[in-house]
Amino acid sequence: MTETFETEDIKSLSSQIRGEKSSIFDLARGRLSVLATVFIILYIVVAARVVDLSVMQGTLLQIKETQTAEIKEASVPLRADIYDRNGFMLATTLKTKSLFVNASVIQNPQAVLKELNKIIPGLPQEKTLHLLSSGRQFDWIARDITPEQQQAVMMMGEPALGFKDEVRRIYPQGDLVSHLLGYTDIDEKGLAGLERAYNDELNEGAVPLYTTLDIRLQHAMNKELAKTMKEFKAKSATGVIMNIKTGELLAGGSYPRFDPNKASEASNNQLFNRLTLGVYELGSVFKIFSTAALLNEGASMGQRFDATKPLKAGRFMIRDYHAEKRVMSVPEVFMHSSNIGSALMGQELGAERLKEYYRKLGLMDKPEFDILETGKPIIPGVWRDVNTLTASYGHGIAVSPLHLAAAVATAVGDGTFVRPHLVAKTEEQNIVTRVFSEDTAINMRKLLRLNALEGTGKKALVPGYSVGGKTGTADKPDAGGGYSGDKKISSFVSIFPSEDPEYLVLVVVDEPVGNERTYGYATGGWVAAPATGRIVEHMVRILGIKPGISDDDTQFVAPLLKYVEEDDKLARVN
Amino acid sequence: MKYVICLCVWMVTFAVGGALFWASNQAQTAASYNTELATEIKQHQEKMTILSAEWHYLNSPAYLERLTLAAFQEGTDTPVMLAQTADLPEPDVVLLPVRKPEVPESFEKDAPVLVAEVKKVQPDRSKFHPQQRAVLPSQNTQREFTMVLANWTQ
Repeated sequence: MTETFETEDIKSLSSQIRGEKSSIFDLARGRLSVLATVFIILYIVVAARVVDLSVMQGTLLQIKETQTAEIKEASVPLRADIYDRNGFMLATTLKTKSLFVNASVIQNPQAVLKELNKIIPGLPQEKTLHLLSSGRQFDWIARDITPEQQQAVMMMGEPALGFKDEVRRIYPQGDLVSHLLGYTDIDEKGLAGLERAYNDELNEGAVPLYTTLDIRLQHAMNKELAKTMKEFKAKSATGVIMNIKTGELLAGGSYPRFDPNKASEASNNQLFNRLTLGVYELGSVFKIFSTAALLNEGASMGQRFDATKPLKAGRFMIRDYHAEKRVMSVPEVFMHSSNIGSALMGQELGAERLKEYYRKLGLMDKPEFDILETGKPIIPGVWRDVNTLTASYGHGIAVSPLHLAAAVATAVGDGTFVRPHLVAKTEEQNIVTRVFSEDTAINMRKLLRLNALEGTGKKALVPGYSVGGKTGTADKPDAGGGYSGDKKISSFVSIFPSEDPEYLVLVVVDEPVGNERTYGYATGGWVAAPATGRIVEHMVRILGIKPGISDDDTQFVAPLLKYVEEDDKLARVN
Repeated sequence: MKYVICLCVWMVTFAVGGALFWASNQAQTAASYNTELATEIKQHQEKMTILSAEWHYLNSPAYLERLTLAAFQEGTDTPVMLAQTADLPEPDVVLLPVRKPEVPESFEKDAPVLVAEVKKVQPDRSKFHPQQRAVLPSQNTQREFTMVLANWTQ
């Protein structure tokens, strides 16, 4: 019994122990399995990710890194382009490469220089060798190299040489319209012209700047200015073509000029903008304003002025250049460009009224214009009676050619002030300021046409076109006081078609020297008038303007001719 | 049963994991392609800017004038503005059909049809500038076209 008990107990105990042992093992095995599985999954995930990153995405990431850098760089806007009215590019910004050297790692500077000379001609030898041997970590070797040069330098395999992306302002039209367009420095900061005035807007890069300029007309004008300057050995020549109805500048500039692509090489004389910044006593072209002012005050064309003898004003004597020595009506004063007659007109108007007209014409203040380089007129500090007389024929008051163009456009347009501009105006800017009545403006058109047909502007006539105009010949002030006898400013302002003028052409020539062809004369009629005539000839071809009248068409000025005939009769009687 | 459920769970997990991996990979490839395209567009834009600048340089009046002078040793004749293209007389054109069209039987024989009538007229020469008149041929005519009702049977 005892044995049986013992055996059974042992069996039972053994099976109990076995069962407990088995469940502990099972539990441990299960846990280990779960743990192993988790680890296996984790390893699979890690391995998959490693394969993904190194094999599958490896190339992609590399490309992405480069592309992200490029896109980041590209997100910085380039300076906006500038165009003319027909969409011709005047200025743009291009990305370029510049070559630098890390001289601390260079092995053989002499050999590198020898190789570079083959690729980039014109490198300064001594300076470049000095830079290559300096041991410094960064020095520019050449800026704005071509893609071919970059490729060739890369093929050298010199680790000390590297490239940096840069931007460069390019002016595809070269020196065509340099004074109005201006230029930038190497950091693309506008230093003159539109580049300076619209610096912030251009740097935003969003919208290109469209100007009112027409490069075809600009080229034609430049050609004639250069020709005139050469023919008359002048110091400078300035010109402007303007739309009288809108105030848009179609062309403008002065000689000598400069290439904005190489502005740093230009002299101060070349950089000087004579059109907007230079102020000159422009002489008889001012008779347009004194005459218009008088007519606007109610004077008739038949009013006569005694120009039989010089006019004494204080210690000055006012004389006529083309002295007719007779009593003249308004049309005759204008077409013979009588200083005496104009001075008498000014006297009749009085200082205050004349100054008020000049102020309304913008001749007394700095002009509001699309570029910042504008000249302030020089007017007498104390305005004496004699100033009223001399200012009536354009002496003693100095303005820029731009001032003059705007004032003439006002006098012959519809009588409201014409504000010259280079960039399209918005509606809010169109403030109308009336200076002259419409009748006065029409009379001025007739006077200018008469002057071209019968007066001092005959050389500006263009067959088939109704051109009107006025000459100006002013003695230049001497440095020591008084006026120079032989140094002159010769000018001519043309309008066409005279009946309803649309275009204005102004040419101003500084210190022209008369030649054999002009019998030694260097007046506005001999120097500037033919130049405006040739510019008008170019313009009608470029703009496709049909000839409309015969050469001897005097219908428009017929009412004025009767005054001239009466003056002739009076002169014969006396 | 337990093992089957377990297996299914694992398979679903792997399948979802795989799908996610594939989707992620596709998205990255697409994003990379997109970036690549953006870069390419930028590069093309830069090339276009360079080409555009070059085109404007090559078409600048000064350059064209230099080319003209180089091509024509004696320069070109100065053109004279005589007229606009619109002023030139119309060339001889025939608007009427060259042969009579076949008239369908149902067409009423006497019914009028719309045809063009051409008249030669002398232009008002007084409107032309003397320089224009000098180059216009004396028998120069302009053609006026009017649409008239006519009858084919006539």
